[in-house]
Amino acid sequence: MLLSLARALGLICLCAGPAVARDVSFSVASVLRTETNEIPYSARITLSEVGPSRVGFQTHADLRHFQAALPEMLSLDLNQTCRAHLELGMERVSARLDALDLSGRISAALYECEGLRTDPATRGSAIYQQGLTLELTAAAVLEDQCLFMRVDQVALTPDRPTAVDLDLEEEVLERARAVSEAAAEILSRVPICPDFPPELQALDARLQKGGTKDIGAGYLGAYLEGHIDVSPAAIVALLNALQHRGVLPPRP
Amino acid sequence: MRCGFFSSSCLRALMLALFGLMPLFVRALPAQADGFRTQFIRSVAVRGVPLPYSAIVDVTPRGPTRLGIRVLLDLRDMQRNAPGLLSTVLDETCNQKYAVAVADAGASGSSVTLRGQFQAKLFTCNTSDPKVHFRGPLALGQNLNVAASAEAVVRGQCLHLRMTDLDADLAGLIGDIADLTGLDDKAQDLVLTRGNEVLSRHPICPELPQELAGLDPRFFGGGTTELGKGGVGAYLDGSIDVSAATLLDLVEVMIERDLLEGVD
Repeated sequence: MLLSLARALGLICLCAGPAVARDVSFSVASVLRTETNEIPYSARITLSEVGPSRVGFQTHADLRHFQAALPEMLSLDLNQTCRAHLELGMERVSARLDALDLSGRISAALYECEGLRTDPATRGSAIYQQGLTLELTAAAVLEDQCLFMRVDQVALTPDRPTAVDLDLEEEVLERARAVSEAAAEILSRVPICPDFPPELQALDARLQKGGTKDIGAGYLGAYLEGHIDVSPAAIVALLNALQHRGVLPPRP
Repeated sequence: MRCGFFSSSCLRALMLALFGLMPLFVRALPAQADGFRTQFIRSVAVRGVPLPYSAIVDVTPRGPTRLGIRVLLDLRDMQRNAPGLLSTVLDETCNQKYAVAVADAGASGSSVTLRGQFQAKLFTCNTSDPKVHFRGPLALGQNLNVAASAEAVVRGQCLHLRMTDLDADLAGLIGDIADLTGLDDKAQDLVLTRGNEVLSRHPICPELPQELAGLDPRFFGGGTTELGKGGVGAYLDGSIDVSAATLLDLVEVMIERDLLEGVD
């Protein structure tokens, strides 16, 4: 009797079909912190059951505001010396698969300059001018639990490839490379992290992989994946967060 | 004895002082920085009267995948109302009436004692007529001071109070009469049996806030305890198994309560 009951119950369990991993999704509004600015972005986070005590997370962030801020952030007027003046105008930033393509224009001028002077005001007449097209390709790398954009390809194309003076052309290219490196450096200092809402920040989220992606029409998005180990302390932290927000009655 | 004349107001002042201090005693329990604590008020209806009690819930990590949960119930309102709640006629026929009058209840350490009087009245009666109002005059009346110890037993999510034994004070009794009527045995039998029937009909099942209940705590133990000086408290001990699902449950609660903006 008991055995048949047990069998019947077992059968019912089998009939219920394979357990579908449960998941929960919510959206968050957060900011990316550059050295001078905070740029808002929205993300959708999905938490799913991946093990008895492990929850996976998957964040899909919409970074188009960041993308829109990049041309201004990366337009530089750094290399103003007695000898040279280079300006970088970043013009176009677009996402392509898991890469970020950036392109801009550099206008470069070399001047006569005596000795080791550095002050632009002491420069002589212009001796060489060149326009260049800069194309950068960046990809996200994971470091310290965040993604950082690293430029892995640089292409500099002078407008007039046949210069009269190869030394001057080489010098301009050298200086243009320094400007593009400065832009790449600025880009690489913006961390893109799995940003949980305050209620969930007590959780120990471990980022395992991530990257950027094209979320349509070249708009920049990012995905971040990892896991959270569910500990009793994490649950206590969530209960305290619920209490803090008035969902559970206060501490006596 | 300055209080002597105004004994009732004096008592009230004493009670106020005592109960005023109670929250301090409760707060004085060790604070657990790594734990969660909440308090809520519930009530249990006894004889149609809702009696409030407060519950303090502590949740603390216990092992790698387990949380301990303790629900401490402050039953001092019920304690104060014990005489009205538990005093009752235990057995009545034409020729006898047994009643218990509960005087007070108190806790000392982990034990709870109910004190009162067992009252027996024997009547002359035409036993062929079962109706009480045809009974004759009182033949014998005897009161017996009794003290019952009570314990709390946890079953499921509920706490059941139960009297375990009864001490009768036979000192004031004429031995022969006690023997004659078997009063002591009667008291043992009736108070424990009937009293426990009443108590078992009124288990205390503290309904946890939904968010905690959703964590599926299992209660496996509990007991009575002393709150402050002589105050009756009880507790349920249990555990919560922590899993990935527990976390998702709480995140769903956050979405339901608009702390997080859910998306499908």
